Amino acid sequence: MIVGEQKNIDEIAAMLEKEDFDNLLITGCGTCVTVSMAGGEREVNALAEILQAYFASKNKNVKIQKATVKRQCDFEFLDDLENEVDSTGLVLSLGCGVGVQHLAERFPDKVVLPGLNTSFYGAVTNTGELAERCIGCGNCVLDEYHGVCPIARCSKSLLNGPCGGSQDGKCEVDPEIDCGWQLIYDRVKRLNKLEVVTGYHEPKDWQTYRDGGPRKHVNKEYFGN
Amino acid sequence: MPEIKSLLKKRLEAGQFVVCSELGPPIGADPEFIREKARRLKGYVDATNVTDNQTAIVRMSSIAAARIAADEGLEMIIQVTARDRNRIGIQSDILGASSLGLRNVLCLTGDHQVFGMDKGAKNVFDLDSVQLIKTVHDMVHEGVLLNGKEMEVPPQMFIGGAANPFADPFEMQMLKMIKKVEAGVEFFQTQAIYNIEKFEYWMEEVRKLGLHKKSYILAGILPTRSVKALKMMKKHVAGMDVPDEVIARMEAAGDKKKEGVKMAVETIERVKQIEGVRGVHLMPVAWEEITPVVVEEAGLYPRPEVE
Amino acid sequence: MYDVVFIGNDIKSPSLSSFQINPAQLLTARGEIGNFYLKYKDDKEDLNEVETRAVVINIEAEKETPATGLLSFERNLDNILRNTRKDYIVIVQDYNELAPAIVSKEGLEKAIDIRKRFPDLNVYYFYRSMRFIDNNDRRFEQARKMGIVFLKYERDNLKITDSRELIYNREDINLKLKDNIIMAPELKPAAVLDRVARIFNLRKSEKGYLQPENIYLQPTLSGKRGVYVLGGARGTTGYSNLTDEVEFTLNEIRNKTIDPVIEQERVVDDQKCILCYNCYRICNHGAIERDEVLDAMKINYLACQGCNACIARCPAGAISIAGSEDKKQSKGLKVMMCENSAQPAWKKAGNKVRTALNLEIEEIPCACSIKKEDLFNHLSNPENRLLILGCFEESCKHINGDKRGQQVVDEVKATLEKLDLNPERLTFKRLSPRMTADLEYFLSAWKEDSL
Repeated sequence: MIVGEQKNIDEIAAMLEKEDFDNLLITGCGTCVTVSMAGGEREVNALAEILQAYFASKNKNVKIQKATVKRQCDFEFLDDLENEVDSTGLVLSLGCGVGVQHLAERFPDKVVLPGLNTSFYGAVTNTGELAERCIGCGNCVLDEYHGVCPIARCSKSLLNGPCGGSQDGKCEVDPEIDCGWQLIYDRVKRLNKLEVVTGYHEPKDWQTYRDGGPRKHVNKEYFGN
Repeated sequence: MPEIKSLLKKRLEAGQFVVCSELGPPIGADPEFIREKARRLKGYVDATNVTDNQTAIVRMSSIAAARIAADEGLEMIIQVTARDRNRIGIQSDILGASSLGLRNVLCLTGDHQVFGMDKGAKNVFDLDSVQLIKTVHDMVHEGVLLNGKEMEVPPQMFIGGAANPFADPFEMQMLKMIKKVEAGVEFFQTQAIYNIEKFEYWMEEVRKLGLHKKSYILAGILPTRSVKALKMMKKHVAGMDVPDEVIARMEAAGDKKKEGVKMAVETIERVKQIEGVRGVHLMPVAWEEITPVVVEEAGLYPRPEVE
Repeated sequence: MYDVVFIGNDIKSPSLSSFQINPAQLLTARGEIGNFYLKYKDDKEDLNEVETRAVVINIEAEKETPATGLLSFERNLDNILRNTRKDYIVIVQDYNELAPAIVSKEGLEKAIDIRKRFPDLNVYYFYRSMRFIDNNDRRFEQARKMGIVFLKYERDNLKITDSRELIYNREDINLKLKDNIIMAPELKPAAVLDRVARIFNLRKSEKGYLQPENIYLQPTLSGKRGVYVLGGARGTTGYSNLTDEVEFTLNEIRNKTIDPVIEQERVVDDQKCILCYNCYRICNHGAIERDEVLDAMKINYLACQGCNACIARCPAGAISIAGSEDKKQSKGLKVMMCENSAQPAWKKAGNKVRTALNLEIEEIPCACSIKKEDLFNHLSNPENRLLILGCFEESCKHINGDKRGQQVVDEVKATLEKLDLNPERLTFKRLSPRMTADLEYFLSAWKEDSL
């Protein structure tokens, strides 16, 4: 799931400061970023209230509308926003970076601003806590590493074992971070698959990642009309 | 052009117990800074490492500094980390270093940039240390680049890697050491040793695997003169093991500098007794002037001739 | 339908209809809060059933005199004291172990009574720990003024021999007193508690009382909603604050079963629920489960304790209270009070104080129920101020509702700070239901500060 985190409120305020508007539409996204407690209805409501208070303190009269759609990354859901967007001067999206861009594409005449930082692909690891598990490299190696990704879980994305900074199962970057290679090692030991750590792994071909330029995925079974 | 060979390699092949040291390049472009340091080391050490933006702090490039020091008559070991350059940049640097007559390279993963002053930098880590070693090995011994392209004049390098007897997971670190050997490493420089028992145990494992016969192992020695530095290393330096007894000993000492030298000399004498240890690597931090003193006190001066 | 059935001793309350059942005659109990059905045999051995909203178990612990041959608290001592040849009487508290707090009260009353009626007798009062519950501090003072001699002892400097002789040594004092020794009783759970535990399916503490020691629960809550345990049914610690406990319990029954505002139904909108499980993770009562049919979360009403944490935290805004309307914007000074701490204290404050302070009060089920948006809403007017009153750490009935409330407050304050909207207008404070005086003082100070 895509994990997002709301931008600092002062950052959002500064962003709005640069625009000229008296109508603001705050749009939430009801899927990933709702789960990650950053861009769902609750956050939209709270953000609307605090911005209202902020505008009042600046003697600015702004009408705020709120709308949360199921997914900002589908035009079908964005169609539902047509009336609201028409009547507003500015859209502040609490969707991920994908949602913001999709809104901008669907409504080319409107300014669309991001209210979130899109953080990573992650899983829920504790109440209110999400942690990174995948970087979307485009060529999954989890078969080679038996379920723990060295690219996402090792701070240096090392493919052939831990660096010298691993101590007591923790990473040199931050003692709060588990050493990815410790995790791999523990797991392959349990599965009796030690060849994963003894074998040589070639340098990765990064063409499937960002290094091959913006990526596109076509499903031939569905593609076209 | 007369052929230049790695003197470090020659000494090791000749069975000498070698002494390496370390030289930190300046944050600045002053060549005299390097020359000055190099002159002080001359005659006391067999080879000198020049760090590659150590702890992720921008400094003069390792290759440039190494060349300047080499002109003063020192045998140099350049360091290459995978943090700042991708496979293209690294291979290009190896070619450049070799063409400048530098013949030794230490291949490292590199400290993460959070340790330095450019925490916001984007790291590379395109290659890891094993891949880096293999890449250099293939360039030197197979005459091919990583992409398979053959070179008419391949680089010449004596290839080193790092080994950390104190990092976790222990078994995994061992496996990685095997991988480095298989990838073509020729010598190892270890993390600084303060926990000598643990180092002895580690060497025992190294011997069981026969790695001491496939590579030269140089034990890391870090002379220090303060309790504060020891505590800092214990707490903040990744992969360092500083036992409390060592700190207590330094605390109790009257003359800290003397004690620091004494401790380093004791460690050298002890590692010399260990089968498979083929030399020492002295790496005082911000106390480089002590290197000749330690070498002398340890009875390693003068250095034997080579050839 | 009664508001409350007392198993054991009855406590009359003007605002609650009640019924009493002898624990030995109780047969079965079924149902849940709001609707318990209790079967019992009456004195004529006839079978009866009674319906009640709540149950209070109020069975005194059994008292045992710890050493034989000594006088007991219960006994009428008039004859003995009238005919004694000694010039003293001795009261000993805490001989075998620290006695329950209520024993201090009973002991002091006994001592004062004897002193009053037999002024010629010296009264020696030995104790290890004097507990000041109810008005014990006043009783203690009165007793000292009346000349009762209080002697504090430790385990090793007081001994009572088999021949009923008390030997006390403390620095310069050496006393030997024979006979006329009244020993405070020790408590043990009433035998009938076993039966009551079985019928209500309550877990017993190690010592056999009905409420296991649980620092998270308010004193008289049992593990079962709508069933409360008082005083002796809770063990020695249950005797610490009797009046307060009774008051808390009856208040709780009123709030939970009669006052409809509190017992509203929480519903999950299955169209809005995205199954993120945040409510499930946040609920400390395990009251949230997944509805497989609707593929949405649902609330288990038997387990729900009504704290509203799930409503406040649902990121999709899918949980609400059925039939509730949007809150209208309030003006000026507003206080949100947790119904388990500040609210009972406020009710005790008395009309005069309440009227004088003239504050807008919102009763909330727990500090964890506050919503960021409501806080921002109230504070959008720069003149407005907001005070949130929750429980002390570790005494929240909902386990960590105070901390959850604090989290929201911290977050809101940080946000206000960043926008230069004066975060000082928002205050969070912890109180206990017993701190009426502190509450009054704090509220007036806060009000003065705010104006």
